[in-house]
Amino acid sequence: MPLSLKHDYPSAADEALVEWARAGDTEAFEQLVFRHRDKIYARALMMMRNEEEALDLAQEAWVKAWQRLHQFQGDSSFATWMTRIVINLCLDQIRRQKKTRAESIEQLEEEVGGVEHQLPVESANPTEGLEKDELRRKIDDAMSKLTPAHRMVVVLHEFEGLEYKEIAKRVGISIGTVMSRLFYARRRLATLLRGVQRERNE
Amino acid sequence: MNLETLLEIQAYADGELSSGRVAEIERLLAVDPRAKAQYLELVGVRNAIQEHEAQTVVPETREFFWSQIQRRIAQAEKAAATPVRERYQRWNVLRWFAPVLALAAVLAVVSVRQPGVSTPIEVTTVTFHSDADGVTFHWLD
Repeated sequence: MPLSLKHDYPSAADEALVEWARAGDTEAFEQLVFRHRDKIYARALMMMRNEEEALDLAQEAWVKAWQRLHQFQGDSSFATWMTRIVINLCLDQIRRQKKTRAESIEQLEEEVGGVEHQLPVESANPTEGLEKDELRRKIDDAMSKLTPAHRMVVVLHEFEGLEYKEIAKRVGISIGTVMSRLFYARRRLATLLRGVQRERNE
Repeated sequence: MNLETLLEIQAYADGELSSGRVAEIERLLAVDPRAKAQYLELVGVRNAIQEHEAQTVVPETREFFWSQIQRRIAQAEKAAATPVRERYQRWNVLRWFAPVLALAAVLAVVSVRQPGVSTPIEVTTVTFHSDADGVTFHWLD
């Protein structure tokens, strides 16, 4: 990599850092990594639920970003562009893993919603009365209990703010499947969080 | 309620229900407490997830994390810079040994399958390759 020019990296905007990095300035790129590394890693970890895999994919995403900096048009923020790269890498990885793993009956049921939609709605808001930190921990724990296919849809919808049709396009499934997976996942999360409430009340 | 209606309630909660169905779902939510409870549950879970994303940090120091990325970038750039001719030459060397290894494997299988043969067959191979003629000879003793 070429030697970098000296700039005031910490106070520079992402756009300026991208410009300098495009010209081969690795210090500018390092600054971008430093700024956004936690978010990129967090997204990979949320998708993969495995620290080692998430670290590997997060690093791979940064390598890809370096190689494709000339493709960054600035239509979205740099963070959004980076998140898209890491999510695509996670999706590829999940697809590869899915090919090598036989789907269990339970997972197949989940694809179409399973029995979750038949369960009664006991409480309108299953998160009511939980402290913020506790809720954060419990939600993270509940997310880890979803299958990769369901978690993927939740992450893309709730964290990335993608619409059903965008999720369908990126994951390669129908809009109907996106809707049923999202519904199943939310009901499952509600059931798991309700379990937390019960434990507290007992 | 069937699954289709439940998915419509969800689409309404997410602002993705087609305009032609909105009035119908709003009517249902106004008269059916189960539908209303389901709607509130979906909205409650969605908001809770969006507002309480786990606070995750990279479990490595800035320097170590960056050094690993730098190493990977250097590796990728090195691989991309390796001339095609050099890669071809490496493959050419491998081509020399591939037939010998294949023959050795076949002979090993044959010797194992031969009934009544209790001692292994000793095989010596000599190989000659001519780039100019584009041929390879293998002699077996």
